[in-house]
Amino acid sequence: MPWLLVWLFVMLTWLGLPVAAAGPKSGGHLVVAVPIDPDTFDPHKAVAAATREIDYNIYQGLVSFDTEGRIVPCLAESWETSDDGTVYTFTLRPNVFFHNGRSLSTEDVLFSLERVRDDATGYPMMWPKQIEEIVTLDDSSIRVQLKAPYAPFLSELVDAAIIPKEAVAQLATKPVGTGPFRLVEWVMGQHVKLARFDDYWEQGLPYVDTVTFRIIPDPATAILNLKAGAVHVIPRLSPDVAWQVEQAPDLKLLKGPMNTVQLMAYNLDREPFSDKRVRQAINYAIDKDLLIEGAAWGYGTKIGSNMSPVVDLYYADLADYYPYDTAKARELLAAAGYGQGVSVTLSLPAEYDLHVKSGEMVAAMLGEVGIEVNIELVEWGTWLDRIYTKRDYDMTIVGFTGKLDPHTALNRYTSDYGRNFSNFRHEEYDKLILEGLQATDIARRQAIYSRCQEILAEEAVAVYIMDPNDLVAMRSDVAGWRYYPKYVDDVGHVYFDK
Amino acid sequence: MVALQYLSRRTAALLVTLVIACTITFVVFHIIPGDPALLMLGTEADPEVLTGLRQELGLDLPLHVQYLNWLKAVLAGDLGFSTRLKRPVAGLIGERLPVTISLAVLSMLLTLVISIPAGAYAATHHGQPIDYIIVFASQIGMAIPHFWLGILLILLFSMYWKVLPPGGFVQWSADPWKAFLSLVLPAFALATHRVASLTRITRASMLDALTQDYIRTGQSKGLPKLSLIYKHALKNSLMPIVTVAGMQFASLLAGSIVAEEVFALPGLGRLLLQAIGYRDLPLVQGIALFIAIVVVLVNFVTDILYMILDPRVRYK
Repeated sequence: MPWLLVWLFVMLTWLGLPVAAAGPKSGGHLVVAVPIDPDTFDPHKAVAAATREIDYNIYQGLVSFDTEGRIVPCLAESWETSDDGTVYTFTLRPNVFFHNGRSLSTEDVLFSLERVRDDATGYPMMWPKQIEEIVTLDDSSIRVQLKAPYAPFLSELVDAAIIPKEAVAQLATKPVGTGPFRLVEWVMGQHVKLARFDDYWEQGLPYVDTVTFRIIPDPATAILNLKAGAVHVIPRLSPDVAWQVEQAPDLKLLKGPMNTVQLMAYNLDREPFSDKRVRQAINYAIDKDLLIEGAAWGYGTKIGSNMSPVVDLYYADLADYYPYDTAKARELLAAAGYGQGVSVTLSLPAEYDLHVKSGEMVAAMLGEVGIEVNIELVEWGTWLDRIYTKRDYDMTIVGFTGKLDPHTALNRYTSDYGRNFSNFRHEEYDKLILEGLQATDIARRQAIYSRCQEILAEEAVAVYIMDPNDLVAMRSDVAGWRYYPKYVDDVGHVYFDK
Repeated sequence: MVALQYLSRRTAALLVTLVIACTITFVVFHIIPGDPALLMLGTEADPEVLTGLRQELGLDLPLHVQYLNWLKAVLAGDLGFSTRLKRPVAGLIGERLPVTISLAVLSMLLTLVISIPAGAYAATHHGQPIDYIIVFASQIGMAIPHFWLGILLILLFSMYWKVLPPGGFVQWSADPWKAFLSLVLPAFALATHRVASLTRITRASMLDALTQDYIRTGQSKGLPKLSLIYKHALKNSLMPIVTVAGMQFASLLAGSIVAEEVFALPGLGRLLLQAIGYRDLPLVQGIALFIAIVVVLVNFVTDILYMILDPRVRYK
């Protein structure tokens, strides 16, 4: 008999140990520095990105997204879509628990989606208006009927957190979700403390025992804390302090796409931007590679239309549609009747260092071809009001947060859209966007959105500059950080590799 | 009787000041561009959602109605809800007070303990090397920007010597010693500039007092030097010192935006900065009201100190 034990021991050691050693280790206390507090932990009322980046770890929806931006099962184990794209039937995952210990039921899903849809809730998105009816079919399945086909439905649904009815009154400060972490304490201006949820449904997750999001508004202080070991991770580090991290021996810097579109927009209702040749000339006159090097310290990916390459499925590569060519720019300007030069104003949002630096470089580049640029710095509140809403501007530089679905990213250029601040009007484009909304076939959608991106480039609606890198600074013993095409800090997969 | 009259006059002035301060804040806030609903939703705002949110926040009402509603609520003791954080304004301000008040008291103590002896010493050693050193040091203290000093202090005390925490705050209730330690560097950074200016004022005021006739009289009747300096000269030169120190204390109680940012302290200054950035009007109004009350109260205490220090004020 002993030989059997020895054999077993040898086999187990050989099979088991290497695997265990290579896998992530559990335990530890993680500290993440973030610059600003969440607004409210009621997931159906929160509007701040600062909330979503944290509450991603607390709340979950029926479906979620993976690192490539594909829709994956979450609280729904599976789903079926009717052929006409109006009926979605979800099957609930069994044995899922809320942080208050109760198990998830279809009633909770019904309650949550009805709350999202209710005007009185103040949900910050319009898509719930697409829902016609929600019906629970049995203990594990629920059906959502849409008024009309709405292709981005699932990618919108990722943000519709499922909450337990009994917790709703105090959700703003005492969140109860199904995620890998539960809230322990939120002291405004100081920290948000999370602890692992022992009954979490995903096997083996999360790895660390507790996570503290410390509110540190000043990036220099955040870096000092990182160096001192008081902070382990700084997400979305500003590129101008990145060198400090790259030079420190016990720190590391991760680079990934941010899924943001940085663009220089212009007001198409104003001279000289109403002339397509002028817009194209400006595109030729701007050296995007130099902008990425000079304004973003090289941390960025060149783009050519209103989409980041990270949206793999729908991205059309138009980055070199207008190669840097000052001779061509001058030619086009002369043809448009601006050979003698023209003077324009570039309004820059003062709080955004990247846009201000880019703007200063753009001014110099345009000066080369005879466009005199007057720079005007505006405070963000003013920018949103005067430039974005009232459309009182010549040119401006801003970043648009990318989306999981191409419709939500490209819809902003349709003629009648309330935030089409470029004043772009294009019949074919409007038609395509409408068509894309109803198309359920992926190949068809790819063709539609590819053409949309092409139109934006062709018409030179803006100068699409770059997708700035999302820089994450961390202590060298931190591992497992994941990039998503959405603004979230996934601490569930992070572990200490000592 | 005189005191009572004085008190009622001050109270009336207090109320008028408060109403004026609040009205100005409200009006200025509506002159500068920016819309709270827009700032909350940002570039992703759906126009329909925006309209809904503006309605919910009561921004669609006429200006005077908004103002009167606010004023009515305040008189009933209700400061309202923050538009962005959806929490009671009074609670939000209350949460920040422990940090702000302890920081203010600590840096004010530091300021007084250093600057008055230093200023007096420089004045009594007028023209000697020590006088020049103190004047020179205070010149530098006034010129150093405190955000820079703050970062430097963190670098030295937290990174190299590792004796003090690099920013952040520990609640007094959680660990009083750690709470104190987390305030040492910011208090020092905040005090530097104030020490410098108060030293100069003490010195100037003392120099003036030392040339007065009563000092010469005292000298000639053979009073001991220390009693002459501290009992007579210093006491008579305290008026400008009290005035400036009072103003310094009031400004500390209003919160320091820069020091709180650098040291990641959850004080009133950062709350105000965020509130302005998001055009969170109820919160800005609440903080403005609080600051106005603090300033008026500190002035009130200063006035009482005048009466104690100078009998002439009492009989006026």
